[in-house]
Amino acid sequence: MKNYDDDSNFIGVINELKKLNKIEAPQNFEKVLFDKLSQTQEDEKISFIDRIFTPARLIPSVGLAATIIILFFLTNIFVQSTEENPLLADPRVRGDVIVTKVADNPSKKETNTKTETKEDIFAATDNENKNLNDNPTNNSINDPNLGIRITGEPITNNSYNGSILTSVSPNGSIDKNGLDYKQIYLQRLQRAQIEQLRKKMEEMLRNNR
Amino acid sequence: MTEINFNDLTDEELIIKFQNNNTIAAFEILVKRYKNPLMNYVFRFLGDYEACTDVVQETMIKVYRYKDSYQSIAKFSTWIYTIAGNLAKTELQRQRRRKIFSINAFGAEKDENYEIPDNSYRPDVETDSGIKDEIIQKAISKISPAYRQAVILRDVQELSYEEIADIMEITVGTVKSRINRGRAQLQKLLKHIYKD
Repeated sequence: MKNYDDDSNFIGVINELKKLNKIEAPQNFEKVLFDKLSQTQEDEKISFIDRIFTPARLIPSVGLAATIIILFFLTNIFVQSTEENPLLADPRVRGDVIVTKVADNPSKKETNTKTETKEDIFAATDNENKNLNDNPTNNSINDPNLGIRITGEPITNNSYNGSILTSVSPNGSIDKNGLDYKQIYLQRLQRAQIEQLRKKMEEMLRNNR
Repeated sequence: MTEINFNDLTDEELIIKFQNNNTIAAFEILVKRYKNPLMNYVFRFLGDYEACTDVVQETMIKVYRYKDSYQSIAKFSTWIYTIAGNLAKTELQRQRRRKIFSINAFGAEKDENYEIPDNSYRPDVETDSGIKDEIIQKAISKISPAYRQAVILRDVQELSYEEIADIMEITVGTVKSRINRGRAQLQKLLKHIYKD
């Protein structure tokens, strides 16, 4: 076991260390110390509440709170803007209207339509298409090639009570059943334009033959 | 009524007076008694006079604020040296962290550390043996902090093994071992001094 009590091996080092100059504190040591102590005591006396409400801490925190409130009202971050924008909203869909005919008695028609079954609707649509094809003088647009029927009577100068029939029956024509669509009321001018287009197409078809 | 002369009281009596009556005069006497020994101890440990002054003042502030935590079963000197030693170790760690760049690369081959020159007040420069003092201080700074503390307390502060054991909170055997190893390292580093 090593004997650590024997200092004789390190006499030189020990003497050198003992001869080292003694370091003294600076002249103003006590003054600086008591200044620090009084400063520490003052800091301790200030309570937590007082510290919070000192201007150095209060002003930044109030400023931050005010900024947050202003930003909240400016950006209105919790409301989805798409709900309010009419341009981004989906169009209103008339899903309840399945088949609409010439409005002799619209209210009656509507009640009848609601009670029709799917097969009845196909049958009614076929009959309707047949009637429209049989009666070209009827006040309607009839283009079987396009599968589109526009029927109805003008109610006023600016409105037209009719419908676009887009049904597809079992024999191949278009059916409105199960479709969501928007009902269009054509004005007299629009009807005339469509009529013109129809005539042009008929003429073209005739010429091609 | 006779006036008490605080200078005649022991350290333990003074701190008890300060504890019981908050006698500032007793605290002032303790500061006077310990400021230089602590400066010497901390300076040898850190090697930086400014930092050393701050550490000793911080030690005194801790004694003032936490006077009630002193228990009369221990020696006052042990208590105050323990506080100063802990603060000095903390300061040493802080100083090491502050050194952003390492200049060890310059002495990598020789496994040497180059000291960053300290331009603060250096008491050793004012004496004839200033250069030698500086060399010894550099050598002290190179040995590990645990050995350094033990060697300084024993050979510079001339405290007993028991006191050092209490201050460092280790056994007397460990103290002796650390002192021996520290001295051996110093002897190796200071070989050239003995040749002269």
